[in-house]
Amino acid sequence: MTWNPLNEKREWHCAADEESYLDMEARFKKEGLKLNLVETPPTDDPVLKVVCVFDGEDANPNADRFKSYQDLD
Amino acid sequence: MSYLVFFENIAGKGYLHPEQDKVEYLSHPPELGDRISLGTYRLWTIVGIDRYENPENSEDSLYLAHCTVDPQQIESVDRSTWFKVRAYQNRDPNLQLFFGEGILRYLNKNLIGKKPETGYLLPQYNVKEHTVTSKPWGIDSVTSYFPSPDIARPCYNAVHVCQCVYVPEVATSQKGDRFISA
Repeated sequence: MTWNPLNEKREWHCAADEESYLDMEARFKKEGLKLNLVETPPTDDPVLKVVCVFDGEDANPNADRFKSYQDLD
Repeated sequence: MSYLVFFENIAGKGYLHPEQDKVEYLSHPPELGDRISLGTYRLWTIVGIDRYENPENSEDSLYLAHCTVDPQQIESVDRSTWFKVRAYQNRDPNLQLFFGEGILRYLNKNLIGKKPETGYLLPQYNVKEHTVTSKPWGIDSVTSYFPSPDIARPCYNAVHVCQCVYVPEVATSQKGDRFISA
């Protein structure tokens, strides 16, 4: 089994294009997160055109990794 | 006889929605240099063609047509410059195409060699709400195709073509992602 919406443990983020998921993966690795890129399905969105699905020890489906520090206050 | 062709950008950026997921049934195999629209006003040029074969039936095959709008890339046949060839190094990529009633309902690129399994509903990634729900389509059968041996650097190690059935009552029940196929 690869996916279950009611028991989703994987983490996903959207990106503008496929090349961006390499930047995202590199950023996570630089931050020391144990996340592996496993799937990249396209979306129906005209701007955020691809989903980057990550799995691994640090995968958290509710993680807010791209909010600014002001938003997190 | 018709041929299933999946058209794909050789770059990882510079494409517009919906240029990332075009499939067509053609009466003849695609040819290098053919020009085609991927769903917008632009014409793309086919710069690479890969044939994938069903090992259980050598007559059964599909094609990947690698396209570009970059004039410099049209002149070059060096696959090492293609985004996917670079990005998929040290991974085990496969392309998954999901059809329901003859129409492409979903596609996925799995980078760790996992094959789709029958009996599961297709996911729906809702970008604005950041939620995942189910599409009303369940995987009924999977046919796998593998790159023809003459392809030096295939982008995908396999292409899985999945036939799906329409199961709206399961998707709306929210009881899970499984359904029972007959």
